[in-house]
Amino acid sequence: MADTKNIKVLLVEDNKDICEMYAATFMREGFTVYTAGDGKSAVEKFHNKKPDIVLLDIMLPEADGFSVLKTVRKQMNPYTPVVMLTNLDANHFEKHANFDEVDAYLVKSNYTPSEIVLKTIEILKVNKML
Amino acid sequence: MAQRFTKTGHKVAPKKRLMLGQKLTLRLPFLSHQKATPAPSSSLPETAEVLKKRVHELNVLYNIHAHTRMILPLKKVFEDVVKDLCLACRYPQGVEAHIHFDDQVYSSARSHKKLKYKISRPIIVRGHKRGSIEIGYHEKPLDGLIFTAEENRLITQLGEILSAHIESRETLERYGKVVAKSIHGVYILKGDEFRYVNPKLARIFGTTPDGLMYSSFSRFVPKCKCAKKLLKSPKLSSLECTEKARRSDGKWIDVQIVTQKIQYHSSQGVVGMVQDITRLKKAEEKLKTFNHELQAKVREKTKHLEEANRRLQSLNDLKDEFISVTSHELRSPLTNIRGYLSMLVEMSSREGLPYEAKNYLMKAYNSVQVLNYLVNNILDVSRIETGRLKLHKFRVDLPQLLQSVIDNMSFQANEKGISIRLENLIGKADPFVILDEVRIRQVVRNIVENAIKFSSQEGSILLTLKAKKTSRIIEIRDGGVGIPKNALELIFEKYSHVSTGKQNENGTGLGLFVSKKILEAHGGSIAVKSRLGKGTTFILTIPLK
Repeated sequence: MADTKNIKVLLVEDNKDICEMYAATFMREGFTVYTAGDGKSAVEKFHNKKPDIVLLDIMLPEADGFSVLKTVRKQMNPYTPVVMLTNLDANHFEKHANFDEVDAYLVKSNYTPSEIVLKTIEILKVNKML
Repeated sequence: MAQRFTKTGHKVAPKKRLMLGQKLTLRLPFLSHQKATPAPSSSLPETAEVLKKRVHELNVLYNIHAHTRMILPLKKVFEDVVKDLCLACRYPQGVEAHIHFDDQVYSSARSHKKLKYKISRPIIVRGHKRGSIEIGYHEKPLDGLIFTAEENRLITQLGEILSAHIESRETLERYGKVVAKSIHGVYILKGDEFRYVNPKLARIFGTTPDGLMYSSFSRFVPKCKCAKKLLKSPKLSSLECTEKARRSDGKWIDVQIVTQKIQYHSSQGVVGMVQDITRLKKAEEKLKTFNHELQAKVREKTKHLEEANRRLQSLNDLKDEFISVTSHELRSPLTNIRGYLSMLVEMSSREGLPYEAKNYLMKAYNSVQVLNYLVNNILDVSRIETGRLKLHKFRVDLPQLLQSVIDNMSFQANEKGISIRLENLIGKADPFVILDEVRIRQVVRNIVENAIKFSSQEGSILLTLKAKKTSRIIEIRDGGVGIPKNALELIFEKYSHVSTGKQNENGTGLGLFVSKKILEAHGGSIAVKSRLGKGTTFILTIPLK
């Protein structure tokens, strides 16, 4: 994988096991990974670490994924791709947000961690970040 | 009764009818006139004779007039006429008079034999001969002269009088009947006064025709001003109104009145028709009340229904939420198991595990995948049933999608020694299609899973991707047991199972149902061809737009 080392991934996931699983897979592929277990720290880390891409769960303590998404989208430059990574229904997502605002909507149980990494790389390529 | 006139134009008092055999010579006014101008060339006895004849003739004519009154029945008129006619003849003793009318014979004699010497005149009513009047003798009179000129004239006139009489009588009867039997009250007003009323009007006002005649219309219908308005305005010819009318017993009823202007005895009058609409009005009111009640009931029922609907809606929402939450809760551990198992699988392929461990691992991983798809299918059925299946379409590389499904299922296939192959025949056509990747993946997986399930050991499954101008076709062919013809139509139904006699063919029966709905939501379709023992081909069509 070319240049994945320069890519900073912010992984927002409150389930520790799942978080660890994704983090391990991303790191094995060479990415730099930051994790956040709740919405509040996710917003903080987004500002401090300036990640290149955000993988975002919806059901989170403190502040939910929708509010994190809003914060990320407020910052126009540089554009940060967001992959919704959740087990919630897309129907539910649509009630609160718009699909145009996200780069992908993935239901966690439908993908293996490796597949998630592949998807992420795909999106980075589309955005000419890889 | 109107004044009567004799043929000569002299007034005759109506009640002083001359009776036959009565001495009348001196009473008649025209007698003096006749006397004043006697025929100059005749002798006195001759003049007296002529006069007597004239008087006789006139007398008969007068009597005939008196007889032809409308008030008398026609039969009586005929009988009187034949009697009087005989008396007018020269030889009243030998003469017989007959009237034939409408197959009836009225005769002056008791038995009416055919007359040998006679004069006859037809009775013609409206151009049709309806009968005849005749006088005659059975034997020739002694003087040889059978009928005098006067007698001839008399009988001719009589025929005409009777014809006219019958015609008027029939006209009058006809109109009289129409008005008398009318279901509407009919009246004629001169000013405000009843000048004609039919029996029905009297019945409507609770009185008799005699009680109504010459009484005031406004006494019965005080508020109807139609007659006044009609007579005032030269333009109006007819008016209609619905008013309250007071019957003679003081009871108020509802009437509908149609009034028309007419000429009445050379001045203006009004003819009106009255209909008692009291019952109609009552029925109308009842209907109105009933309608109101009905509306109230409908409102109430609607309220109940709305409430029930709300309850159902909230139940539906609850069900939706339940499924949503349940699926979310189910998916969390599934993600974990699947994730870690996949990592183990990847690790084992890197580092090498004993064959058995690897095998167990793959079995577990596979089952998790199946479980995940089951959860998705159940969720989808619920979405489809509530009409909430929504697609999230993106540009997707279709050949890559198919290959990834095949890769994902290769272990399951390998276990049965089945090979799965993709044949990409789209050539230079665009591999990208706008679709819901998750859903189409689910559809292909559902069908490939079935193909594996129903394929025999060492079989093969072929996915063929074809390009058409406006769509992409995915054919999924297996060489399995096939589907019986009678079951082909049913396989896309919910919870349908087709028994093939094979074991391990259990499933939720939702896969094909969900697949069909997903393709339909894309604007595409699914079809199936199958031959028992030869295999099955599913043809999926996905439109480009």
